[in-house]
Amino acid sequence: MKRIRIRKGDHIYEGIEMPSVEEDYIVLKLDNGYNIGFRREGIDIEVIGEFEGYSKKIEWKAETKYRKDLKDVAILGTGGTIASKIDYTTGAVYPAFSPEELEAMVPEIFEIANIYPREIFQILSENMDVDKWIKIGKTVVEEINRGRGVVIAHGTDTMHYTASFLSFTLKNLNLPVVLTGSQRSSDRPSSDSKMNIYCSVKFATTDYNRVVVCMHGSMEDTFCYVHRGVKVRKNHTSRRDAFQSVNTKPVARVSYDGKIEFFEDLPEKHEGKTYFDDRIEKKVFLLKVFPGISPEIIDFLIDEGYKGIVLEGTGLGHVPSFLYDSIKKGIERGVTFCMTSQCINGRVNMNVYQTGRKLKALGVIPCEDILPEACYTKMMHVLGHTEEYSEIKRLMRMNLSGEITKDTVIL
Amino acid sequence: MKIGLEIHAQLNTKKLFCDCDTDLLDNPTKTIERKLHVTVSELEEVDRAAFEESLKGKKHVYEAFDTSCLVYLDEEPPHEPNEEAIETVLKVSLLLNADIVDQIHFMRKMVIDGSNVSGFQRTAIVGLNGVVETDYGNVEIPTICIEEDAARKDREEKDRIFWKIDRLGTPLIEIATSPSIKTPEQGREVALFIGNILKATKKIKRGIGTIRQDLNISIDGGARIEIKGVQELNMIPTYIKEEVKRQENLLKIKEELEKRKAGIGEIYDITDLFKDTKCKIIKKAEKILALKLKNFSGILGMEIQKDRRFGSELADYARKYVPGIFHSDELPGYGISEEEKNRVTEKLESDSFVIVASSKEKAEKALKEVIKRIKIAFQGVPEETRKPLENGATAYARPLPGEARMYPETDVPPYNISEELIEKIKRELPELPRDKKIRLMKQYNLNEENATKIMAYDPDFFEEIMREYSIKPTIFLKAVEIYRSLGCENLEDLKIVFDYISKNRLVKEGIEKVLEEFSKGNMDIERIIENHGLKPITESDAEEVIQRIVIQNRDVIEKKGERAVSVLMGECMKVLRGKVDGKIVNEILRREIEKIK
Ligand SMILES: [Zn+2]
Repeated sequence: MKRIRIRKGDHIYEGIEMPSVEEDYIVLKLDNGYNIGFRREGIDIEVIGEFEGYSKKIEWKAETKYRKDLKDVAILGTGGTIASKIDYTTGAVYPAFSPEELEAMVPEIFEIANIYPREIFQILSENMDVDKWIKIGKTVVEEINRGRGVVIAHGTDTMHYTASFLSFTLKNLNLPVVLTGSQRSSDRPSSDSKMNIYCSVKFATTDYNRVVVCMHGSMEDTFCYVHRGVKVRKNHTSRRDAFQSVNTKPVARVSYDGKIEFFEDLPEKHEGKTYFDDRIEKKVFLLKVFPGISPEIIDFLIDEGYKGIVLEGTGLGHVPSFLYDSIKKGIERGVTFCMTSQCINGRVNMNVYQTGRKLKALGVIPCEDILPEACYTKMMHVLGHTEEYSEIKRLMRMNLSGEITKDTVIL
Repeated sequence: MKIGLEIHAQLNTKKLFCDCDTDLLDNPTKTIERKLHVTVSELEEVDRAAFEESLKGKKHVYEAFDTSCLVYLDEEPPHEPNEEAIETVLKVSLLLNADIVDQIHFMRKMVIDGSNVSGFQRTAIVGLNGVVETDYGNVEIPTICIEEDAARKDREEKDRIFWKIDRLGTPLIEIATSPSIKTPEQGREVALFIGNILKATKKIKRGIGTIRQDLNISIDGGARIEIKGVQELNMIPTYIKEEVKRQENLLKIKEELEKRKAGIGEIYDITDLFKDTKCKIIKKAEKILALKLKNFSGILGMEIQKDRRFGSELADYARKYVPGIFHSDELPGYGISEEEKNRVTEKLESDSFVIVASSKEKAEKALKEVIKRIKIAFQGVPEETRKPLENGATAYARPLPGEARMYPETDVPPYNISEELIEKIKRELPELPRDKKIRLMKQYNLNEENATKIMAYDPDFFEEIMREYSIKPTIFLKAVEIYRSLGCENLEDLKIVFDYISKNRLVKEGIEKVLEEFSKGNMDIERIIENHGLKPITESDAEEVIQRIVIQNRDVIEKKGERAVSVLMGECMKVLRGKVDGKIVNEILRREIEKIK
């Protein structure tokens, strides 16, 4: 960065030139720390030196020793703001994932587990895709087979998709896989990330050998809820308790003091090694039904070679009747249609109204109370294993990983 | 001597980054418990004050209201900044002859004492290079900022601090002068001038604590001291003088300590020496510890500021852990006997010492603070934030915060100030207080003193009254002064009084009585006039009274002729004083006497 001098009218301003969003403006960081912007027009700019950066980086040596009395937990970084530092000059946030940085940020977790940080990649969670899920899945397997519980630091936008995907594709899981993130980036003193990481690591030391999401349970820094990876959804754009279990209760509650309260029994243990089931069909589409939808969309998807379409239907699981022909055509050409509801809460039932009965007759598979996002990842998994309609239907309607609850309890 | 002034005023708009009102509220409906974190890697640079706070490891409980939104609970990113607030700050900047930045950039200033839910305060420079002209010379205003007010501390419990978030996010204007104020009086004048400009925008909140003044003072060889939260403008010169005195005395103490080769000794447990003491504080304490000092006699008790001794400075530091200390210069006293003092002197082998009585842990910590403060005394004056006391002296509050860490608020885009906007605001600028005063003097024929008073009250209200009622400015001033002296602030109440006077339904002399009743909550003006006989007498009624007096005094008139007027005038006024204007009485009386002659 450059140190510059700006002359405007009778006054001279000195400071560091900052990156500017708008081309017509130049942004100056004054020596008192404030930034101000100048219109480029009518000012003189002179470069007077180079700026090396303020932060005298401190040498933080991680001196944590292996403790036999503690369990091992791997923390996998994928990007997002949960483990990030800020460039105090520009305000830019960048990931911080070395053991040193983690220890500096959340020293408490080194008291409750032997921590093995590992960065898989750095992306924003909205840029996540199936190939990256696969990479995460394979890395998780490596760590689990080393006897480590796993915490995955993930951006929050699509965390529940990743959690669902891993729930179906991680087989013979022996240890917990906990996804967590932050709604308020970790560079701010009020960040939710520290408690989220702490509670996630704590939960990763239990014997709950399933994929879960662990995030703030309320707006307070007092406890986290642990949710089944297939039953959780981001239900708020910004609140720290955005993640909620849908159609079911959370698995557990982890207090900031480390206390864990389970709301269900521990799952059974598995024999043998954990593995990643990589038979996946990527050509699956998640389609939200709406009153103005046109059948051409479905025709297009069929022509594009999509193997499965998850319909996010209205109400109990309906689509407009003018889509019937296209759906029928698709099923005839071997495309699987599954029905979920855009109501999010509640269960699909295609017997109540004629629309539902007709769709069922066409071969659309009603998917109980599976969340649309979970249904999408489940279908990728199921279609990766069989192309036969009856088998697909059997698997889609079978509870593979907790995605279907028999009865929707009154919460 | 360097003196600078920092003025904060709350703007009467919505909150800076959301649409919530900024009124203070009473009944919180929700509480949210949070923790604030500072990461170790940042500690190196984190400022001293912030670090002290973070060490306490407290939990913060935020009390929200059913009208609170998510933004100031740090549960939603900020909205666009409030335009009205920005325009108000632009207005003040222009009135202070400042340059306006082309683009406003909001910054995050780290504040981790819990007063900001997010852990930072948003702040931005709006104006630069302003200037205030005073009779003592110009004072520069390098920056004019817009920022967020903090939450209100409600109470503190063992490990929790409770905050009300109604005030959090209220836009503040921050006006900082350079340290170019040269005299205590100039300090007051600058504060008054800026205060008047702020009021002229009509967008400043009224009431206690809405405008806060901080003084920055240092003398040669001294240190920068910030006196935070001065309310009373007239006290500014006193605070400055007292602080200069304090710094001078601390420098004298430094010299004296060097000369005497004074020193700090060990801490002794002297609990045994006070077995049957009469001092209540010591009696109920678990442990009594003494810090031995060498050659401090007379220094501990030296007055360095009005009613404050060097020992008071030590006590301020110790107060973090104990309510107070005893030092040798004030003993015997506080129930500690001469004999007990001698015992301590004997055991410590020194006649100067500081005693603390509390639990072992607290007493030790308190004495460590005392040691910390004494060590600084050998170097001179410590940089501190101090709180103003009523008598003009100050007490230690906390160490002076270092430069707070500041970094860009990336959630708020830069805010462009167009030339059109500046032109528009220039057209809407209120009359400068100074100009207004001159105009008022001319227009209403006021003297300087009365004009100054009106400016200090509410010049616009004054002009409104002058427009709408036919009363004299002196009546206005009298009414305002009386009402305020009764502790009433709502000048709107006076309108009905002015109305009655201008319609001749209340005698001028009755104002005091009416306002007295108003201040008791009795607002029924008709009844007050009735009960206290404050109704003016009509001219024909007055005529009748005067006729009667004239007839009764026929002989006087026959004897004295014209000169009887002055005699009878007194008689008439006995009855009519306060009900009819004297001039009119005089006129009628002359007429009536004429008739008889
Ligand atoms: Zn709000």
